[in-house]
Amino acid sequence: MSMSPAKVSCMAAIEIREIRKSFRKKKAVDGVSFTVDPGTITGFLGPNGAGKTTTLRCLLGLVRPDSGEGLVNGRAYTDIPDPLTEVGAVLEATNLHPGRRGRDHLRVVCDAAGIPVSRADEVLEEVGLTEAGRKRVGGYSMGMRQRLSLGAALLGEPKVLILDEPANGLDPEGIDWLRRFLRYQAHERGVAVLVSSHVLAEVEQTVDNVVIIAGGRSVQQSALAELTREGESLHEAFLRLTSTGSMPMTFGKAGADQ
Amino acid sequence: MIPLLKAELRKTFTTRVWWILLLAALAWTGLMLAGTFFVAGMEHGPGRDSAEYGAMAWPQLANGTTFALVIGVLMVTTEYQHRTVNVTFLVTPERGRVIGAKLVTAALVGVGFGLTVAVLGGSAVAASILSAGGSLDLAANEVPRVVGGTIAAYGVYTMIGVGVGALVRNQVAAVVACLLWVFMVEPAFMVVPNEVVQTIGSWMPGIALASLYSTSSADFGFDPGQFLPVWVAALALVGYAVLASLAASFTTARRDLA
Ligand SMILES: Nc1ncnc2c1ncn2[C@@H]1O[C@H](COP(=O)(O)OP(=O)(O)OP(=O)(O)O)[C@@H](O)[C@H]1O
Ligand SMILES: [Mg+2]
Repeated sequence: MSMSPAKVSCMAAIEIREIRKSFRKKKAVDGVSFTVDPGTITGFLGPNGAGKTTTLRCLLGLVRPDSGEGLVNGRAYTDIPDPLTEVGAVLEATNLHPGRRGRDHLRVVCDAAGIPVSRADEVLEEVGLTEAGRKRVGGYSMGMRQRLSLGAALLGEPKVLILDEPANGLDPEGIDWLRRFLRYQAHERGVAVLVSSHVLAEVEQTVDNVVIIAGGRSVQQSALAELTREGESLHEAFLRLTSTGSMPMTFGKAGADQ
Repeated sequence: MIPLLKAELRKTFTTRVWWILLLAALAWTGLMLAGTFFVAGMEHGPGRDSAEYGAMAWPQLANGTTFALVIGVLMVTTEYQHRTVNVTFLVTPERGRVIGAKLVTAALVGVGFGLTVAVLGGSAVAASILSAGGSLDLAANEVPRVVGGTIAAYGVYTMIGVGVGALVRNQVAAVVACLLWVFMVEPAFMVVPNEVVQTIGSWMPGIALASLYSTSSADFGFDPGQFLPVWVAALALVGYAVLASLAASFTTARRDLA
């Protein structure tokens, strides 16, 4: 590729351009745009059903947006020849066969991506599953499945990481490990990290930038420091920006009477 | 294509379902062979040393094809069932290539099933003929064609299974549809005493398959006079496999993955 270094350094690693997607007339994502630069961690936040997963799936070519596009290093994900060596992605919920051993899951991915199968064992060690890797996934805890999925995303040593709720099911130690891991990836290896999450306290300690969406639309995109500058916590800012008033504020009999 | 083939083969052989279905194919074929063995040995039976016994016994090797069809279906539907299809399409965004790799893998796995059944079942048939004092007259009963056709039938059926699985996607629905087809729809076409119905029936995949491995002198339910000529049947089956894979690629190519 003949691209000047200057161009490379200023091109966003991830670029979401005006993505719109409806499922049976219901708007899931309604014109979301943002960018993620190399060497930074961006927290992708929003209430349940805000459209985070749909946006990420559009970016990864699993869902076809009605309009708009997602680009990774300037190309559509589906146009990248060996996507795993460029982008590592962990999707929401588990995408694992319970009857397959963790190590075999990784080896299948290695095979398909043309990566030597020896990477599977290296990655198992990295995510702390060396022992468990020999067992069938059906016997894994939620956190172990999450770590195995993360392992699969690391096989190709990508420079872009896209993670949908990676903290789900992790214990405090796992969450702490994830935080250090993401910081290492972004700040030492120069990886562009896009991570969606609900755990705001955790996000607050990890990310550099935040993108907040609600009802399929962007409501905030800035550096984390900028959002919390006025002394407001991320939690408060998040509620102020995204609250729809749809959750009951009172409970029990009192709530029913009102 | 080789990396994808390796991945698909590893996927197939790293869960338990392949050997369960192989055992089932062997058990079912064995049961049918045992039935033929006892019928031939009965008082008014042809005797196990007769050419009739050989003509009855060799085509029984194809009884396991139903299980080949099922493993073909499962090669696709388990991916949707356990959502591993997400990982598969993340690694290989060109979905048509994945379907292509699955079809080739299906052919290999199916032929492997066919060879296993042919070697084990064929040895049993040969042993039963020889131990009764009969001669292994391979030419008289067209044994090479029957056994070769049987092995091809396993391969083609597995490929058709992949097509059905990709079209239906729901595991239970796809397996039930296949079983109904094999055990009800196709036999019904052969049973109805109407020439048009039976002619249509002779083009059905399972019955076209039967013409590959049936012996002209055998009568095991269908009247062999209704079968298509072997080469027509072979072409028809290639047509079905192509049709199934085209349909599979077409419906898989653009669909959103939830
Ligand atoms: N495959 C689908 N079919 C129909 N509707 C869908 C589908 N996927 C998502 N939706 C709808 O789109 C909207 C956005 O969902 P999405 O999963 O993107 O939200 P999210 O921000 O990831 O939520 P959460 O925080 O709960 O994971 C929701 O209203 C959801 O019901
Ligand atoms: Mg989500």
